[in-house]
Amino acid sequence: MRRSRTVVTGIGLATPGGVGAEATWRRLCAGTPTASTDPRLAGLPVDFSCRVPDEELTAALGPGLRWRTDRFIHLALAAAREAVQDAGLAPGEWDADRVGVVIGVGSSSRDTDLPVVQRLTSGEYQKISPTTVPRALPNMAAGEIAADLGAKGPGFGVSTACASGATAIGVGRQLLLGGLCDIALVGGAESGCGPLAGMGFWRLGALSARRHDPAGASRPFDTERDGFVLAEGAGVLVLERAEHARARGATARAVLSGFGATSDAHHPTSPHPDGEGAARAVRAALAEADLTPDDVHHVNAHATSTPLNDRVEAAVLHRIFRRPPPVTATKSILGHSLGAAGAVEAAVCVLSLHHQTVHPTANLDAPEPGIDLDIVTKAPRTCRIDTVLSTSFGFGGQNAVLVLQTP
Amino acid sequence: MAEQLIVDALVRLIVRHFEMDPAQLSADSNLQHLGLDSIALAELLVVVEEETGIEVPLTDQAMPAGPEVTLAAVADYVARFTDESTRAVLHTLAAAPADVDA
Repeated sequence: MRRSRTVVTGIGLATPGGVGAEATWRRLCAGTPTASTDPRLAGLPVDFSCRVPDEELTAALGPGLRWRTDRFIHLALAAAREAVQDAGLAPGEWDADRVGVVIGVGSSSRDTDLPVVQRLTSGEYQKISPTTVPRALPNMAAGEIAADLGAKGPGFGVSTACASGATAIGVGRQLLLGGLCDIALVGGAESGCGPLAGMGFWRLGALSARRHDPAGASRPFDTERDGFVLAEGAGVLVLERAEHARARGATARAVLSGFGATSDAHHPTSPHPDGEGAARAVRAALAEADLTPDDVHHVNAHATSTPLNDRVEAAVLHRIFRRPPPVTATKSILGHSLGAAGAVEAAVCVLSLHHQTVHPTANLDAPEPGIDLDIVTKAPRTCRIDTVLSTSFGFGGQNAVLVLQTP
Repeated sequence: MAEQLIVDALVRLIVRHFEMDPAQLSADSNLQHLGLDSIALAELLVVVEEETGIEVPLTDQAMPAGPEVTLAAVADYVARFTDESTRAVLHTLAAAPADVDA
């Protein structure tokens, strides 16, 4: 007996390209990077990032939540509300006990840690906000979404660093296939571009130091790339078993047909030099979708713009595909939103399937010698896309790959 | 009878920090009915200290607690810890427009 198919019936995005899937897609197709000098990082060795527009986010969030929640939760709520609306679901009318929420978060935002630390060191303990703990727990993106929308099924956060969003989508799909819920709100949210996270990544040597040219800093696969650009964002997908979606008359926007998850078991922060863990994740996702590499029409690559990651990923794609299909790097425009990135890019894949279009990769002036991929640049490319692969790789050597197909 | 000066100052702090509509707020307002729970009350007292310099203990036996706490009760509690210099700050605060957008 063939098991149920999982379909995507709604998507929501809050990205530096704008709050909303449509705004984000427009920005991606325009191909203009969102990185710019960030006043919140003024004076630091790396002082630029990709931020979600404040006014749009405030308007989407509404009043009353900011005093007790960190920014990754605001982003998660904006994306979740859009996804649920996009799916034609009305919270309050659904069978709440059967709605699950799984949101990937790499780390708490850390954007409100600094005042707390200052008060600790100055001994002003009474001025430490009682919201310090609940505002920042990584599981609170899922918890606040559940409370906001009235989703009373299984709920939790998952954490695989920069693969968290993709892992959450895969795990949420397993909840559906295991019959633990009928609707799963899945995705990722992160706002790790404050000074503390920024300096931590800078000291690892992971960030681009291209201060003179923030817009040109995220340049996946390019010879001149020197690291990733910190970003924030959230992506949420509504998943259902195909029968459930059909029974309520919902339109399937895509089929989530494969998920591959592996570990490098190699190094805390460096990918395996042969990319063998990444390759196994791709193969596992394709096998689960019952597809061969030749069936894949497009790859939305992890492509962070760090020298080693892009080189290893390109080698993996060369090894798996006889002739790799068109590739794009969403992070060249939106930056690297860490735990959110995998979910943001999965939503972008749904949009690519819908529009039958690959958005361009920005800043690819001269691909590194040896990286011989068909990377879409300059302008969006319209082409037949039945099947798209999205790769995500996190610290800890944790890899998550998704396969999405037209319904 | 709560002191109006302190109620007015609290209203302004609540409007700004909790993003609430000033029209909802008066001395008789029940905090729980406004959606302000015990964490929110503790947070409000942190904000009071932060913005006015009044050191309001969170552990005093007289600290208002429970489902019946009103804005007036919080004002009475804050009043116990004010002095001349912090009163001047309260006057400035209370004189500001109640609506953040005003």
